[in-house]
Amino acid sequence: MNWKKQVTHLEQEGSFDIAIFFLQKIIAENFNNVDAYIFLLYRLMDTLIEGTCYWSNISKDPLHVIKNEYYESKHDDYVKLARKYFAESYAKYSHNSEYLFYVGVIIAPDPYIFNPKKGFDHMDMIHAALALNYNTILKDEFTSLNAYLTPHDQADDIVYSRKILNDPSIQEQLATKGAAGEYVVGRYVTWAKKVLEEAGDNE
Amino acid sequence: MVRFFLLRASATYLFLLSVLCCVTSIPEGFVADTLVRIPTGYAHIQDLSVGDKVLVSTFNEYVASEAITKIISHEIETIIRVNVDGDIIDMAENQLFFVPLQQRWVPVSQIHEGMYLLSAPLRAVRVKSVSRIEQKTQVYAFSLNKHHNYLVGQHNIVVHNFGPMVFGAVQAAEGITLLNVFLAANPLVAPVTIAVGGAGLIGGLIWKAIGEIKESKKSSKKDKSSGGQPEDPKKPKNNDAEPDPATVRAAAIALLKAIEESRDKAIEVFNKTYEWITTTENGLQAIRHAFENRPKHNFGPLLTRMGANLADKKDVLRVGTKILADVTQKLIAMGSKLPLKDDGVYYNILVEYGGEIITTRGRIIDGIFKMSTMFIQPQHVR
Repeated sequence: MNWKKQVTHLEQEGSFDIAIFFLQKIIAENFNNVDAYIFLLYRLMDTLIEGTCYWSNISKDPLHVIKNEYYESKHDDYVKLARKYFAESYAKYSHNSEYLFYVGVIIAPDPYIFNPKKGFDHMDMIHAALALNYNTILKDEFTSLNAYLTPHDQADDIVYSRKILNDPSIQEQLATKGAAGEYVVGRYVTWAKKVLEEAGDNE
Repeated sequence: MVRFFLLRASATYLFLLSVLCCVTSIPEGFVADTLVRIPTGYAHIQDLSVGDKVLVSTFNEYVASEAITKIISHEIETIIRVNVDGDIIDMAENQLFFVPLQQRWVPVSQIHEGMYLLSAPLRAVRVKSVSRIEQKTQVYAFSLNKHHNYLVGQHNIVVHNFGPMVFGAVQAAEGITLLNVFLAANPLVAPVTIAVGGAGLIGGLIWKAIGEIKESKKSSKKDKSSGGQPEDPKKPKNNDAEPDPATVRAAAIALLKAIEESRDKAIEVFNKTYEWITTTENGLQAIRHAFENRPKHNFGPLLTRMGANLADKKDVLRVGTKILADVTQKLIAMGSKLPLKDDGVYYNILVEYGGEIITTRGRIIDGIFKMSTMFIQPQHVR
């Protein structure tokens, strides 16, 4: 089983602390593994921000209450890890479009956790990735402030949904980026499928 | 239901009263270089013509656009100068503004320092000063057939058009709904509601305009610095010291205390947060994180009750924006009762909203309530 599958397995059983430990180990063994950094930063964001939601809304574990408390008690430790691995990876990959896009989106719920310094704006990472032509198909989702306030146009939605579902890069990201891929691009794939299903589009 | 009829009756009364008052509505209008909001930005009032489209308030979270039907211009002898949160606007003394706390149109001659004026889509902006200048000058005003208002100045202040005074959208009395105005955010102030008309609204124009302005500013900045090439992303500035968590928390606590003691502060914080939610890419990401295809957040039933079509992403995000703004309002209203962790984090705070208990967490930083996540726990789903 490769490391990504092992991490996915640990995440699926709610062993987030072991997944974090394991990803640190992967990075220690290979400092140039951009995917390991992306997986780890996603895991830290999800554990810190969405932890309670997971234990109350998703987990079927009879020990979910104490496990939630356990992860809350680790909050400060995980913040330290988040800052350490963000700074370390940013120093290495600040010109890697894939890293910039993924981490820019992953840290969006609370960028301060990862980099509290004044003047840092995680949107700069997303803009830089888009400028390097990474995931430009999703550009409007991140930069068009009025995208969801303009009148609904079903025909445009169908064309856009087809583009997303036929984009080889999006499919590759879903296959290789684990839970981070699901969070960053998976939501658009789900919406695209829903739009086409609603429209009875079988193309 | 009683409240509904009271508001409806109140709106009708105001309408009748205003029709009686309209005979005194001249002179009104603004001096030549007053900025008027149009779909693509701003125009000077003197440059507008019949048929030009301007943005108008629909007295809820939207704006619409409408074509000018008539233009008037006349000379006045006294200018009234209003400083609205730093923006200076000069006008004739009978010009009408909408005052949310009074739920009515008020002539500028009755506006004074400290009052709040309605700013579109739904904000209040404080009047810093009002002065009179004895000087002959030409003023301009125009008429609109449907909404009877337009937006002036940098803060999109809602002003009445030229013609008989009409309360909000009272002519669309059917389907009147109640909307909380952010002034309710402060516990010192009784909740304020506005009766508004319903359907047929074009949303998003202000956001679009702001988005376009920001986009053009961004690209012109890039053009100057790198000859049209995209800039490198900003690297974390290592020379910047990391803020001390205790200091950040202390600042957040001081802000909560100030909110509790001052209505102005509560409104200022809400306005700043609302602006962050609706006009920044960071705010957009916060909305997307909470509502975009996040079944585990359990917002489905609430969104549906609030009229969102769950199969329509735009609809979900639009209604999600309202939920976020309203929940933030309730957090602000808690003042110093809002518990904070280090770094100004509010953590798993329960807020009753729309018949649900919403769990929310976020961070108070730079004077803004920045939401990190929101969800409804299964035992809290109605």
